[in-house]
Order: sequence, then C-alpha cells, then structure tokens
Amino acid sequence: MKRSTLVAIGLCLLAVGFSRAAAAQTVPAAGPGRLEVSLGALWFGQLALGSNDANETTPTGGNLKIFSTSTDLGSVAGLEARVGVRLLQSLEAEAEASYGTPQLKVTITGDIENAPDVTATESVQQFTIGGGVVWYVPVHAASGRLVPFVSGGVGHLRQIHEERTSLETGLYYHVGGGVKWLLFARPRGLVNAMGLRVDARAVVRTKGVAFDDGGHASPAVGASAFVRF
Amino acid sequence: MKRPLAAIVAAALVVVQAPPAHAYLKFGVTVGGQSITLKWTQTPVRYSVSSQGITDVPVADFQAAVDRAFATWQAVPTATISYQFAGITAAQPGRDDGLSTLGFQNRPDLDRVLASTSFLVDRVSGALVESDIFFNTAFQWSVAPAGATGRFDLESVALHEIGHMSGLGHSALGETELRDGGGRRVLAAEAVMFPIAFSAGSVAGRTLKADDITGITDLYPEAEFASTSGSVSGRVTKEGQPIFGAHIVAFDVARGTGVGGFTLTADGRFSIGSMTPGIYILRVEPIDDADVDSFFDEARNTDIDFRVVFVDRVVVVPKAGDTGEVPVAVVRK
Amino acid sequence: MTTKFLLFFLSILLAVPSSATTIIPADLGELSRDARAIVRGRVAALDAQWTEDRGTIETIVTLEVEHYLKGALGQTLRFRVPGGDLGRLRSIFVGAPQFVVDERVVVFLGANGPSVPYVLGLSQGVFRILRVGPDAAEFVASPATMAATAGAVRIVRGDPSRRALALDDFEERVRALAGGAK
Repeated sequence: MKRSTLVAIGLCLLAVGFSRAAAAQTVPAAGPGRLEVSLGALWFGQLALGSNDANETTPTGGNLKIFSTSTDLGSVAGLEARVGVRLLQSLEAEAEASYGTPQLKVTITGDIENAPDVTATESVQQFTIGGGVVWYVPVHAASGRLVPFVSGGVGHLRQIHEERTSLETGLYYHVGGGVKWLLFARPRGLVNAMGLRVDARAVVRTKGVAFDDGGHASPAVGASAFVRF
Repeated sequence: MKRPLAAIVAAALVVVQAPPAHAYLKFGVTVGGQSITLKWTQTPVRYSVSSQGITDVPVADFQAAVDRAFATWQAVPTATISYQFAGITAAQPGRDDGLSTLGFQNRPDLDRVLASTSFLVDRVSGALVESDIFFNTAFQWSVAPAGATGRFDLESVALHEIGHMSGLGHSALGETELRDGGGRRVLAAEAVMFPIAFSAGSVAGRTLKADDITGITDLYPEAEFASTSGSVSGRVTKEGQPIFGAHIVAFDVARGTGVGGFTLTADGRFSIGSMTPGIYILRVEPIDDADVDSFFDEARNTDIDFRVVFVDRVVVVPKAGDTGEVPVAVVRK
Repeated sequence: MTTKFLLFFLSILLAVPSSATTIIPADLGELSRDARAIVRGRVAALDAQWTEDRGTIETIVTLEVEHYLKGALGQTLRFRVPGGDLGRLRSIFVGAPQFVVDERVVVFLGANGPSVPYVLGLSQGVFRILRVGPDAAEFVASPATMAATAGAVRIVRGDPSRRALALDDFEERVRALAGGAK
C-alpha cells in the first residue's frame, strides 16, 4: 500500500482519537431528515498508471530498449460539493461531486540516441459524481463539537483530455473517515449547525485514464465547510 | 515478350482516392498529374509461383514458405487484404506478362539485393497490372523452421516483399551498426518493413509488428476498425522552417508499441492514420543513417541536420478522429 | 469534415521509387573497391526500352562525364537501371534509383563484360550532388556510411558528427578507398 494512503488512514484514526478526548459542551445531535450542504477542497493523490519500454526486436528475438516511459496521473487539488440527508441519528446518505484538473505525465528517459529526457504532459479535466454513506461513530462525547465519522461511496468518473477530442469514463470507490467540527449549533431555526469537515479516504478508480480495466488506488483528502438545515 | 495492350489483364483498378491518413509509407504513382495510391482494389490478389527452384529450396518448399508469408499478412484482423495461390508457372518473376509471380532469379547485377518487388502499372488508367517478387540466387536461402546458419530465411524476406507487393513502403524503425572492417548489420528492428534484412540465420523477421499492421490496415481497413481508429498529425520545423523527411514515431505508452511516419510535404506536415485510440508520445529523428533514396523519391530534399527529440506534450489519439496538428520544433545538430 | 479533407490531401503519395527491396547494405569502402567505374557527371538523357529478352522495361541513363574517380568508360557514359515508362506502361522496380535530367550525381557502376554497366547496390550506388547555402557549396546528399575500423560501432541517429559530406571530401575519400585504403 502506498505511503500516502497509509498517511490518510492514519489521519482518520487520529481524528477519531482526538474527538474522543475532546471535552465539549452539549450540542444537539442532528435528527433524521436534516439536510446538510458542504463545499470545499479535495486533493487527489498521484496515480501511477504504468511503465513501458519502447523495444525493438533483435535478430535472436530479444529486445533492444530504445527508451523507457513511466505514466502518472498527477495529484490535484480541486473543488468538492456534497448534499447529505440524515437518515438516522448516526447515519447519513450523501450525494457528492468534484472537479479538478490533474496533469497526465509521461516521463521519458534513457533514449538510445541521446534525446534529452522529457516529461510529456497534458491537462485532464476530471469530474466525479456519486453517492455514499456516512456513519457517525458513537463515541462517549457524542454530543461534543468534534464528531468523528467513517464514510464510503461509489460514483462515476469522467475525464476529458486537454484537446477535448477524447473522453474517458470509469468508476470510483472510496472508503475513509474524518471528523466534523461544529462551530455553531442550535436546536431550532432554519440553520441547525455550521462547521468544518475534514476527511481522508482511499480511492480506487477503474477505467478512465488508465492502461487497463483494473482498479488503481490513490489517497484523497478533503476539507470543506458545511451548513446543516 | 511485349503483349498487346488488349491482352493485358488488369488485375485491379486503383481507386483515385486516398485513405484519410497513412501509417508510414505507401507507394504512389502520378497518373495524369494526380497522385494515386498503388494498391489492390480487387481481392484476393492472385499470385503464381515460378517452377524454377534451387537446390536448397525445391519449388514445393518455396511455395510453402511464401504461402505462410501471405497467410501472415492475410491474418491481420484489422485489414481486409487477401491472397490466392493461382498455380505454378514456367514464367519468371519480373516479366511483364500479366501474372504476379514469385520465384528465384540469378541477378549478379544486383549482388546486394536479396529480393525485390516490381510493379507494372497502366499509366493511363492507373491500373495495377501485376506485381512480381524475385529472390536472388546469388545468396544462400533456407526454409528450415528454425533457420539455418549462414542462410537467409526465405519466409522472413518473403514477408517483407509481400508487404511491398501489397503497397507498403519501407519503415525506419530499426537500429544498425557498422561492422569492424566493413559492412553494416541490423541490431534490432521493430518492423518487418525495415529495409535491411536481419543477418543470415535469423528467423526474427517472420512476425509482423505494430508498424506493419498499422500500415496494411491503413491500405485495406476493416470497416469496424476504420470506424473507430484515429490519427495523429503535426508539423515539424527547424528554426521556423519546415522539414521534409523527418521520421516520427508515435509510441503507445499503454501498449508499448510504436508506429512510424514521415513529414512528406513541403510544409513539414505528417499524418499517421489507422491508429488505435489511446495515449501516445512522439519521437522525431532524422534518417541520417539511411540510404534516403530507399525511402523517398524526393531524397534530395530530405533534411537530416537535426537532433533526436521527444515532443513534450502527451498526444491523445481519439476514437474516429485526429489529434489536431501537433507542432514539433527540432534543433540543428 | 474539414479534418478529413485535410488528411486526404496530406496522404502523400510518392512517385514510385521507394525501395521495395531487401538489401545487404554496403559501406563506401565496399562500393569503392567493387565498382568497375566511379564517375561524377550530369544526367543528360533518360531512355526507357525493353530489355534484350523483351521481358521487362529498363531505363538507359546517359551521363555527361565531368570526371572519373575510378576507371574510364568514355566522356559520355550510358548505364542501365531497372524500370521505366514505355508507352502506356510503367514498370516500377522498387529500389531502383530514379534520375532527373540535368541533376548531377556520383555513381558507382559495375559491369559484366562488355555489357551496359549497372548501378552497384541499386540506390546505394548513387550519391546526389546538392548545392547548399549562400555560397552554393557542393555536398553529397546521402550520408555515406564508412566502415568501422576499431570494433563495431552503433549508428546513432542525430549524431552531430555525421553530416553531409562536402563533395571534395567525399571524392577524396572515395579515391583513397578505391585505391585500397580502409
């Protein structure tokens, strides 16, 4: 598992641990039917797509390497929006969407005829739209301002190459967790609560800009502000 | 023997219509001021085998080897070319007799030519009348399954020549070295259509590569593939001036295969078609190690004074579309 | 649609001569030593004819000789290349060099007895002379491959040391190689 994914999982565990330790005044829990809207930033980690050498066949059927390539979809920070509906006190369903412009990078090295190493790039427009569930961890100070959660989801991935001549689609799956920090909460009124949400997740993408149809994992970290009605 | 025009059997009419783009080099002729792709428009292409074998390769073995080579081209799933054996003939290859004949010939005047393909074209109609292939008896030949030391593999050379017979030119996808004391040999090649043969004893030339497959597909595209394949095009310049004869290789980074093309216009443009959609990078090099005449008619215009370079932009070949012109700037040596 | 038309016109169709041969490459030393004559001259005429056995078409190239680097076959020289246009027919021997009247070339010729000479190694035995630059300096177009003399040497495309040879340098080298130098 990549180091960045391990770091993301570690942050989740830290958030859960922190929230347990936090002392808080009593904050009314959200009841079923509450609507929550959030907007913020989402960072996707780099995704390694694969490597290939350009080879030519020798008289004995072997390979002569002409140059090497390594292809990645670079990390990117973009926008994320969510709309969630509390189903139960500890369970929420949400719809999510994000947008970012990662760089597709092909690193070319070791040319047999001494062409300079180059990284060929293009910008990819990436859209995701999907849904998921959030489970709020029932900790001792559940009515505190720090509310940990675990989340998971699935969605549609859409990637448009820079020249807009080619579109790739796929799916994504994510699992992770985080913490919500309630800045403001009240039992009555149109706005029930406002706060910040931070989460980390492991994302597996299939198809899209990829060399194969298999799943490829990368970390993601989100930070957003939310308003609950 | 010269035959009356009426007696010449036109094997096919060449359609005055170019495919959307070419994989690397295709043959063309100028008829009535118009350039026409030299290709078979009626298939199967019928071929005969000369009855004159040689000691080491009887006619039956020769026919079996060329049959395998024809079958290899015919088996390309994205191309529609097909061939049919028309029988053994007493005629020799290279005779303008209306028959497409393959066979051995003693050609001491061509002592550095292993084999060669010739065409007979009707200059008025553009019809491709016949195409012959001869294998030079000045060399030692083998049809052994694993090859034979000191002998050239007939099936490999036949595969190359049949590519020409089908309308393909040469590919520049290969590396060579100068031998100590004289001569030159192929270190590696990634196209059967590379002009220099593998050394005697090698059978590595019996397998078509991506460049060959793209070329034959471009000439004879299978409908479903043609509806989904794409192309990459661009322009190569040096100090703002267009370059003729630059070699471009489009490398599919996912599949690890390369297809070559050339800038063949006065304004330095290139176009490589019948490409599988995907992510590519482009490498541009001069063919300054080649007998340039073996690639282009306009060898005198070929610019070889620049360095090898990669384009720093990812090129995405779309489905049923073109990349749009990719600008490539090269620098002087 | 615009793209398709553009690509249509970009699909350049070459006048014939691209080589459709499988060759054994010869370096300049081999060509120089094996040639019966090496001559620089101007192409004066191209005449297609049926071969002696009337089996196919060949072209007789008439060269006005400027000078010989090896051998001596007269001030006006004729040599044969396979292929050519005759009447309604065009015979294309892929790999055979193509000539243009008035172009200047250096050709390496072989011969079988008293018959009309032929070009050694097909297009390998033809070096076209170009005038380049504001002072119209003369160069040979095809980069001549020289034999390695101290172990095999991989040919590197784009090698800055490999450039078109000035005509004088090329001819000096050819004379030396024809005389047995390596």
